Amino acid sequence: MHSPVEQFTIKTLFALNLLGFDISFTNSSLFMLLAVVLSTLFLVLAMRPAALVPGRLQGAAEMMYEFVADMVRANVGSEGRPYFPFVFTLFVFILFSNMLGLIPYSYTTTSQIVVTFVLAAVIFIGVTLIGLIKHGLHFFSFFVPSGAPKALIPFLVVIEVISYFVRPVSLSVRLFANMLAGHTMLKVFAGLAVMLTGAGGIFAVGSVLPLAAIIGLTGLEMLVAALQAYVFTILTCMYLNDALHLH
Amino acid sequence: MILGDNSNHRQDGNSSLADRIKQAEQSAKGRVDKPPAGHMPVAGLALAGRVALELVAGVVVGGFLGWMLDRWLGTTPGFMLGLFFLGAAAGMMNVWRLVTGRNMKAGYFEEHRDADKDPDEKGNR
Repeated sequence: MHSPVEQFTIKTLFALNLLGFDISFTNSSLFMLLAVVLSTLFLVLAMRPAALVPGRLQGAAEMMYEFVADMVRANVGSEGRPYFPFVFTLFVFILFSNMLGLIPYSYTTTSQIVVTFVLAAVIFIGVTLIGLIKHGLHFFSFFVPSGAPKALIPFLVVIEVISYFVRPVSLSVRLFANMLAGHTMLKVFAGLAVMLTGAGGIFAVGSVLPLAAIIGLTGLEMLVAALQAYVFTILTCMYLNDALHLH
Repeated sequence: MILGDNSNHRQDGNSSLADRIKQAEQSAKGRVDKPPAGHMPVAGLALAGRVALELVAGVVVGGFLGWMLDRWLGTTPGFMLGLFFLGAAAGMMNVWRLVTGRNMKAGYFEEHRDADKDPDEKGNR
């Protein structure tokens, strides 16, 4: 019997070593690469006809583009334009990684905290640097609440700084935990179905129930996969907006 | 003759088009008044997850920063204890911002300063 968390094991496909660092190509790297290749192929092939009246594939690609473009416009404003390519790439990469993970026998790269935390850390450091470059030392006024009693300001500044450092943690844990929980749940129900079938007799008939649950959960997981890609991207937009406009 | 016919026809078309626009606007108004039913569960789901996580993350990050400071300055467990509670406060503040639609922005806001319009917020202060 397989453990429900066995699906998250990292397997080395071929070993690589760079200056003493283990940079082996793993199943996680493979699915990251697949997400990049498939999303690039999808966008390039969908936009190949460049028709005035889009077909189905082109329509899907244009909807994705407009969805992110509207998100950036609504949350960051026109100053967010230079960052649109990054935000769009981020959204497409997370969406494809999440969706690829739902295919049986595949691997979900976003179910590893390392992957999501690196993504979040890049955003956190990038956004902080943008804020520092745009506003100089004035950026630190971000942590000083205006209109608060003077005696409370030292405490409030510490709280603000902590709440600023919470951002990459909550951003990465949200995506990782949702993926991990969803896939574990699917495997638990799948294991139950297999065990009931193995038990035979009346139990084999009962295995229909966990099977039905898997079908429902797969639908839910698709929603979660799209929703978490959306949440990750919209929070990136909000952090970017904070850095560009302070308050 | 032909021109007259045409203009008449156009007028008819215009008036019926105006009627149809009015009708469409009215039916659209009725539709807008209803809350977008399809969107609510998804937004609620995303919000619920964020609230729970925000509470925990504040404490964890506060505690971790304190632990690092203690290791660096050798003041175990002073900073960890202090920042643990301040982290909890930060988590609660983030939740408050999240549910009041401020989306985890740091700092206080214009609407918070002139909150006199809203009696609830004034009471809270």
